[in-house]
Amino acid sequence: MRMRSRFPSPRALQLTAAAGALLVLILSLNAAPFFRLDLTDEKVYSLSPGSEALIRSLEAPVDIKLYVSKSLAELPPVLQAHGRRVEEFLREFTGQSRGQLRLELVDPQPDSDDSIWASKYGVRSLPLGNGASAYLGAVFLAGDREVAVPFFDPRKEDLLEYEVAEALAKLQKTEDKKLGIYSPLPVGVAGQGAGGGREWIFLNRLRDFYELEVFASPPRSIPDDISVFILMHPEEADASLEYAIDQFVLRGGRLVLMLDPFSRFQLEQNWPESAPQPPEVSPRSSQLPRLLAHWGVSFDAETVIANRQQATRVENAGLLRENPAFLSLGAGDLARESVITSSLRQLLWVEGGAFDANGVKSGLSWEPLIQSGAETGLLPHTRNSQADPEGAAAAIGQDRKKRALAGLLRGRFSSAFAEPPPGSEHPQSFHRESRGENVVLLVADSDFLQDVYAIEPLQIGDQWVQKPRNDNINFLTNALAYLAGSSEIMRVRSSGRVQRPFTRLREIQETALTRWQAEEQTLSRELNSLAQEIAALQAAEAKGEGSAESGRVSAGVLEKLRADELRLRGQRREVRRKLREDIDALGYRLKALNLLCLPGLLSVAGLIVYRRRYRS
Amino acid sequence: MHAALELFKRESLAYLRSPLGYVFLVVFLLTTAASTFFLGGLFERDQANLRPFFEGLPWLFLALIPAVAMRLWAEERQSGTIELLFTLPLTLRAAVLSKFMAAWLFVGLSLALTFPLPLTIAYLGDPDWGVLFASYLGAFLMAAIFLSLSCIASALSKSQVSAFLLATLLCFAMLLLGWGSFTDTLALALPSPVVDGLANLGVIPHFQTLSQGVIDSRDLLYFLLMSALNLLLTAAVLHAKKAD
Repeated sequence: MRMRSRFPSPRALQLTAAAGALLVLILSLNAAPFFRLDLTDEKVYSLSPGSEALIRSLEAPVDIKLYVSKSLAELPPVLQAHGRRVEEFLREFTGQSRGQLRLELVDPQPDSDDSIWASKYGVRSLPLGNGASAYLGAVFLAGDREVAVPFFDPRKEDLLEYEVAEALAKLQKTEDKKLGIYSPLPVGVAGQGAGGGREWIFLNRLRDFYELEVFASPPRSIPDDISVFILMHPEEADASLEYAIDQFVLRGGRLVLMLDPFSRFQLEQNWPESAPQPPEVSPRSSQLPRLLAHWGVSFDAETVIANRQQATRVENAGLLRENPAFLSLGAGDLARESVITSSLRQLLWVEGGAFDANGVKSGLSWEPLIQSGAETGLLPHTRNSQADPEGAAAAIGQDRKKRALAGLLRGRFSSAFAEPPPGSEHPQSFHRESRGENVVLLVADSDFLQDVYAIEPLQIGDQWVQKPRNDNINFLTNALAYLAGSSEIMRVRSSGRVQRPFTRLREIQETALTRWQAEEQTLSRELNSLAQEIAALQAAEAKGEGSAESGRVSAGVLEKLRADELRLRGQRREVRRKLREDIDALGYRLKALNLLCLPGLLSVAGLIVYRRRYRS
Repeated sequence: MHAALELFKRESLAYLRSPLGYVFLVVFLLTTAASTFFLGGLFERDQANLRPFFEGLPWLFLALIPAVAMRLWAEERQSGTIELLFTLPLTLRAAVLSKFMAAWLFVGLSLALTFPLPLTIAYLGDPDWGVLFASYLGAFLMAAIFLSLSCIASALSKSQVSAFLLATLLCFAMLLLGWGSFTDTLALALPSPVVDGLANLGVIPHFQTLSQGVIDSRDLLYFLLMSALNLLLTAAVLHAKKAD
């Protein structure tokens, strides 16, 4: 009988021990130094040039105290992982700062001095439900200034770099620039209006950086302490308002002028949500005729720009429908060389207009910042695109070209007025010309700053946070930073996810649309008139007109009309189906190719091998 | 060294000389394509990336990779050729490595044969090639983990079927380790540093970083060290059984 040795092979033990050593190594990987290679196109996971510039521009050393709970037993893994990510990121950030940034980690124990200091600094603790609280926040200290990031929210992970850069930027703010804003839209109104109008969120963001003065009525002159003024959607710009703006620019003030051919906000402000949208609306546009004419820039307040290829899916009565007047703009539509737009990636333009600066006056130059695609045409501004987005797409005018949606007007400005208009304030300090060079930002939309188009509310626990949907607000804040003179502070990317839609499908849709739209429109028109006829007949019957004889006749006519309607509907359904046909066909072809091609080839190869092996 | 290379070559060709190899390839490609298009809705998503493909991959690997590895050691033991193997001028470690590399190469080939998928999205839109490269790299490395785990199972088992089942179990455990809700549940019972450590051993979190387009040295080390660990254990098991 063979004795089975009960002692395991020494070699086996050796190898197991080696495996154990590897296990320890793997477990300690997290604490090890590391390098990272970011292969994404947009370099989403590296420090952006904005952050790097910010670090370079630091004048005095900054201490960063990161309050992160590490030793808590009940710490949820999400917070743990995010805490590590924040720590890693801050290390990377400070590592690049050549000593200007110093990082200190604090793990506050409950009721300790650390936790008291944390709350003094404004770092929030997150209650974990069983009495314990977790910390994941930081305070940035420079001299006697301090800026806190109360909580690094794991759901805003892709905003991490932005939040840190923003804190640093706030710390750097040396002089308080005052910002003024006037708009007939209730942007800065808190607690007024039906249902309690809220201050638009973009104003909130501006308050972080500037002292803000919201003008309730059109100013007759802009106070001297205001460095930057935002005029948003001036509906009825009378001479005194234009004069105030004119003089503001001439004395060196920085102007942001937002004009809009179609204010969706004003349309929907008093419109009940559930009611269907009216197809035609009365115009709600803004204009600044004297100044623009004087500068040589034209703005057509009676047309809205639209582009099928840049159409956006917008919610419309519970469905998502592509609306060509809501333009999705990408990095390719933005000026790469400008500090304002170089780091932006996505904008949503909501029924805006465009500027034409071909006739800009000498002494001034035009630098477009945002342009729309080459296939941008016009729609009348009385047409409500949301009432029939597909119809709007078909109705876009034939004059299609790239259009400038926002830009900077630079140079030496002169007054548009020969003399101060009657009733103006301080007529004696009339500037006829600007002393030096100045710059004005012209923007052809106002709706893009609405909460619903710029922000996505996200709920974490019982709190609501606002996550940017796109770079709309960043565009404004970048522009203001530039105009206010603190242009070395560039914003970093806000969103880590960039849309990469199937462009080929859009192309196919385009071709299909041109082919079938004419037919679909004719059918729709016929259907509409038929419906009207039927309705008229029914109304006449209801009123009891005519005798029993004519009643029978009209019943026959009604039946025929109904049959016609059914037939036309069927035809229109066919056409609509055809619009999707090409895309569906492509889908089937691709799926079949992927599923059958290679597997088919390999099956054949396998069969050959099988026969060769087992035949003989 | 020479013997190791020979073994590697022989094992690699064995996959292509057997009809079963082609069966595996066909099944792999069919399931990945079906999962990507029908379960993941690649076409309907209207986004030029292969997220539906890579998100389903760990689970497809779970089902298919044990099949690649099950024959590596269990078959040798079943047919008795394992004694022959030990007489070759080749250390056991080298043998384990050669067989593993052959299997890994074969899985790499099956991944490469999914090239119609990136071609499809390149035709439809403009994908991020850096992310695609990193994702495929991550998939290849993840396969190494699954394979090396399956090797242990194959070394432990006397039949290919039990090797397959054990391998599936081990791989499933590895997938669970990195799974959020599983880790949460563990945290209720175990002290946090232990749960932390276990979660770090899971394969999905490391794969996820790569599939986002970031090549982090710690993730690369994880894949290499973990595979090495499993292969060492495979060799240990073989030595222990050899003594019988």
